[in-house]
Amino acid sequence: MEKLKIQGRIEEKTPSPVSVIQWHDRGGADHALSPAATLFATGWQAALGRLGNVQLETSDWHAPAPRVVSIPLAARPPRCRGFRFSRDVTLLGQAADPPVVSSSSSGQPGVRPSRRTVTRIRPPGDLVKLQDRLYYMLQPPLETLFSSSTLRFPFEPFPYQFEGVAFLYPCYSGILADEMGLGKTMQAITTIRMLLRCGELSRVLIVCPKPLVTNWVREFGIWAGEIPLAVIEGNQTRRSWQWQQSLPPVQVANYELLVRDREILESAGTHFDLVVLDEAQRIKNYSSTTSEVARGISRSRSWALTGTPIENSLDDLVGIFEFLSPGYIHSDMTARQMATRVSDYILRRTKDMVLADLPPRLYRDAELTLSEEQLYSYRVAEKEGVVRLEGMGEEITIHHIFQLVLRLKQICNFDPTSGASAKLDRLEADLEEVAASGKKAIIFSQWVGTLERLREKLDRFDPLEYHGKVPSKKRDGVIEQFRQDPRHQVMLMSYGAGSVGLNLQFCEYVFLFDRWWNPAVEDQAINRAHRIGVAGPVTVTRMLCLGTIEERIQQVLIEKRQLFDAILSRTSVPESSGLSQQDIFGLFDLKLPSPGGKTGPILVPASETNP
Amino acid sequence: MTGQNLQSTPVLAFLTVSEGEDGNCFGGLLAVNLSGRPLEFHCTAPVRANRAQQILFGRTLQAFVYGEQISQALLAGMELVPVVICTDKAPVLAVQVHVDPTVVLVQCEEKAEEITLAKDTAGEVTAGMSWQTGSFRLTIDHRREQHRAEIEQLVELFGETVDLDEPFERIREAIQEAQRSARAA
Repeated sequence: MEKLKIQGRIEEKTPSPVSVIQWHDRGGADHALSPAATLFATGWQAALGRLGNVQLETSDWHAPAPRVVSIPLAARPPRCRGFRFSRDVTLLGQAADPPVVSSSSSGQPGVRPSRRTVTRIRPPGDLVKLQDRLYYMLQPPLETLFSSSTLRFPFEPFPYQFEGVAFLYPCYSGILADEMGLGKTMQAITTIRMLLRCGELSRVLIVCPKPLVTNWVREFGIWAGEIPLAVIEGNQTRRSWQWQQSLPPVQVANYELLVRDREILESAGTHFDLVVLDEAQRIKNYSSTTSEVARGISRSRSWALTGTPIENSLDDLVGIFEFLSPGYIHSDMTARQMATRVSDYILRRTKDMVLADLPPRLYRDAELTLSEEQLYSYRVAEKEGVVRLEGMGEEITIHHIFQLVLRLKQICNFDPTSGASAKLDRLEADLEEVAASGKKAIIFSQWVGTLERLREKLDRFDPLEYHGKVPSKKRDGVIEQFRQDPRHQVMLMSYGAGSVGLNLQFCEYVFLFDRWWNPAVEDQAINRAHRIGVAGPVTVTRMLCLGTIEERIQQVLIEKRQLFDAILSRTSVPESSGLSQQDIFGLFDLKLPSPGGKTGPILVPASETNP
Repeated sequence: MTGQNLQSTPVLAFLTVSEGEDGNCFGGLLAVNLSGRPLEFHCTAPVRANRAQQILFGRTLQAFVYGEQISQALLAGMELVPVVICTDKAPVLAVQVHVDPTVVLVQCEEKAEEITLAKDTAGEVTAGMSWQTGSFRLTIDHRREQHRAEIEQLVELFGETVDLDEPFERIREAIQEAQRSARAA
């Protein structure tokens, strides 16, 4: 309410009948006191016959405007960055999924499934572009995808298998180096399936050893039944046609065929979104034709699957990396440098690390004394061999040494003249026990000849054979017969043919009749039986003749295992990073012939040679 | 959300705001398909209320920063049109008056806390409607009560595959990654 103040004084004036007081307010409005008001105001003067002389004084109504400070409260919208990702769902979405045996889905909407772990895909360290990194970071947890109705799986994978898939999914160059039996094949197939379904891959080539082709086909049927797959096979015309087809999206070829079709591959200009090399130790030798051809395949992604990325020396790993990322590591690096450099590119888990529930492997070292006949033959052969080697002077090569080693090892198996064998005696005794308990056993040897000899001696156990002399087409049948037929309790297997890709977890006993040159191959052999699905502990009997070359090789194996563990576990790296040729010559106290010569990696002696 | 609704399958949006130790707020918005796969991601530059805003907005400050500033900016950049917008931050509900899709506050059982509904910028208390579904407590603006049945259907549809509060963790990690990238640039 506005308030007005009127100031004035009264003066005598000539009376007038009407007196009006007028003024203006600050806004310019006119105001006036009515005559009645005037009369009322001056009533007593009128009564006295005088009129008041009213003088109005107008005071300034316009006060100075206050200063105003305006504070803007509504700020500008913040800056935003937007990323849009591929919306291609899948070309395979309508196809049937594999049957679900079990699923982690709770089946009740809105109910959080109870999960032990959440596995997220992480962008690889060498991925620079933010959009690409976010694409991987924003993917849902694998457990969510796996439990959804859009991507069914026949079995609930183990948590470490989720980790494996999360490693491979964004991986452009990498090695899945899990110990044998942990499901590298399944992890690779699952990742391929996911990448195919989200449109990141459209053409995949899997290269594996020939005996494992059927294994891959079978595993694809189990884990990704909706994905069409073709095996590259047949005559050259057919293969040439197959190589040029972009469908089906997954093709499987074996190493030998890859080498044979080298020219076709090069001339066709075929490009693959992903090339997977199974048992990638096949390309460890950089100068081999297999390695050359594998490196020559045009591709966007390169994965290597192997339980033994280092079989003999660090050069094995260098050879594999020449396929993955040429020049990334080289032989001049120390083991420690190499371990640091490759750590982001290799995922390696052992059973001890991830399968706490897996029954244990029980090692028994059967340390035997040679029979009299064997001992005599051994001493003669060793003496003659060493004398011959010493007599060769500068002409001596690593192959001469190996010849002697192989000869002595064979004598440790069987006496060449009498056929006596301390190992066989022990083996027969053990097998009696195995057979009596209704269990099954695998016996590994380096030589087919030894296995054939064992077949004769162990005839009462009705053994089956799986080695280089068994035609490839018959091998699957042999495995199936061993699996199904209770009469066959013993399988005679060569390291070369039987050490990779086979699932023999129904066997609880493994015998290493002779020892291989590196522990990785032995592990592979043992893990045919000791793998996921194994019912009980696996007993591994390592046969060793005391005081012989086998005992010295045992020491070599221990050193190699240290090297292997050092690179892949990135823990303490031993000063001595491997077995040199000097070490091999040292087995017989021989000196390396000439300085500067023959210092390269040690070649593994030929396997499955007949004695 | 200027883009046309061209998508053939429903899209779910997740929106959250994370607050740094320095008081800066970062908004993130993730649009996913039925499988939970990412379709779009948007994030804001750091946002910080000035002193005057802190004083004058009082209790409505978070609703202003989260709902008015950050959420509106994020949603404006979306190309796809989500059927529903989920958030784990109650103040984000304040954006409801500006957008068509229903905004749903998702709180999982184990993290459940007293929901203090935000006041909108006009000072009017936004009353919410809450209910329990499965492991989650859902809250929507009272003016969207008629959409409850629709929301329940969507939760049923997405809930089979998408853990409703899991995507917020993805968004927070992505925001951190984007910030690292911005610092490095």
